[in-house]
Amino acid sequence: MGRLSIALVLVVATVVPSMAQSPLALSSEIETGWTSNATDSATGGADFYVTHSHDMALTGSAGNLLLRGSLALTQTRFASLKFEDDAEVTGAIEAQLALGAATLRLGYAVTQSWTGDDLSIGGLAIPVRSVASEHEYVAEFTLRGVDQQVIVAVTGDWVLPGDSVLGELGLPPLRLTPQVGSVAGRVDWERALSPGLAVLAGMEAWFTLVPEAERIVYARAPVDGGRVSAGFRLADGGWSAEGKGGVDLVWPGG
Amino acid sequence: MTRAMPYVSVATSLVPMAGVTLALKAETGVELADPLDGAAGRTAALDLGATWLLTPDITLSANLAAQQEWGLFDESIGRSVRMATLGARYAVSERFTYGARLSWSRHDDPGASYDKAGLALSLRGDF
Repeated sequence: MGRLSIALVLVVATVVPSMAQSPLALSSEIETGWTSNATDSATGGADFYVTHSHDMALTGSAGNLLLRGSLALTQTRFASLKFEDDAEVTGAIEAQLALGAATLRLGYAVTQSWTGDDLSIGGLAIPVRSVASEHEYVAEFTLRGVDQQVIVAVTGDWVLPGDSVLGELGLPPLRLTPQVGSVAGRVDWERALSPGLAVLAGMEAWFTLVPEAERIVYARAPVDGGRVSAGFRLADGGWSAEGKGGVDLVWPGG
Repeated sequence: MTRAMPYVSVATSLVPMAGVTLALKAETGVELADPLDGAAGRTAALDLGATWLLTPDITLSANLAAQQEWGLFDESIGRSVRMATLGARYAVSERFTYGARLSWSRHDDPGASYDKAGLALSLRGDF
C-alpha cells in the first residue's frame, strides 16, 4: 500500500455516510425479559419487563453540506414494579461541512428522560420518580493530510434535573440532584508511519460547572482536569492493537 | 490538591480463525459526570469479548467486564461492577434479527452489594 492507502486508513475513523444510503433510516427493537433485580439495588426484587426503542434519522445533502436530524425513543415497562418504569426521548441535529481536506461538524442533542428508581432507607425501597433534560453540543474540526490528521473538538453537556416525587412519604416534589454542566476540549493527532502502524498523540481539557448555590446543598464540587497521552495503532491482517499512555491531572474547579 | 494519575488505554482484537473475533479493552480514566465522592473519581475498566459467526445468519457472543471507581478526593469509598453476558443473534431476514441474552452482574456499592441476573429476548428491525 502506498500513501493513498495510508490516508484511507485514517479516514475510516470518521463518519462518512454513503451516498447510496436511503435518506431516511428507521430501526425499532422490542425486548422482553426477566430480571432478578429490577430496582438495581440491595432491596431489589425480580420482575418481567418490556423495552421498546425506536430510532429515526433523516439525512440530506446540498453541495458540501450534509445535514442529519434524528429522533430516538426508548421506554421500559415493568410488570409489577411499575415505579421502575423509564422513558427517554432524544432529538438531535447535526451538520457536516466538507472544506477540501477539512471537515467541520456541528451537533446538538436534547434528551428528556422520565426515570423510575428507588431510595433505600433502612431496608425499605421508597419509589422515586424523576425527570431530567440534558443538552449536548459538539463542534469538531478535522483536518486531513496525506498520512496524518488532526481533530480539534469542543463538547458541552448540561444536565437539568427536575423535581422528583418520593412515593409514600407525603413529601412535596423536590430536586435530588444538582444541575451539572461540563465542557471538554481535545486535540487528537495521528500519523501513519507505515500501512499498518500509526502514532497517536492527544491533549484534553475538562471543566465541570455546578451552580454555586447548589454545591453545598447537593454535596457536589466542580472539578477540572486534563489528559496528555501518546500511543500507537497497529493492524495486520487478522489482528489490530491500539495502546495509549499518559497522565491525567485533576484539580478542584472554581 | 491537584491529583496526577497514570493514564493507560489498551484495545486489541484478534481473528484466530474465520468467523471468530476476540477483543480486549482496558482503560483507566476519570469520572466527572457522576462521581462517587461528589467531586471526581478514578476509574478502571476491563472488557473481554468473543464473537463467533456460527453461520452467516447466526452470531454467538460472550463478554466479561469489570469496572471499578475510587473516590479521588475521598479514597475511602469505591464501587465496582463485574458482568458476564452470553448472547445469540439470528438474522431471520435482511431487515429482521432475533436476539437472546443471558446476563449476570455483581454490584458492590458503598454499604450495599447485590447481584443481578437477567434473560432477554429481542426482535430488531432495520428499514
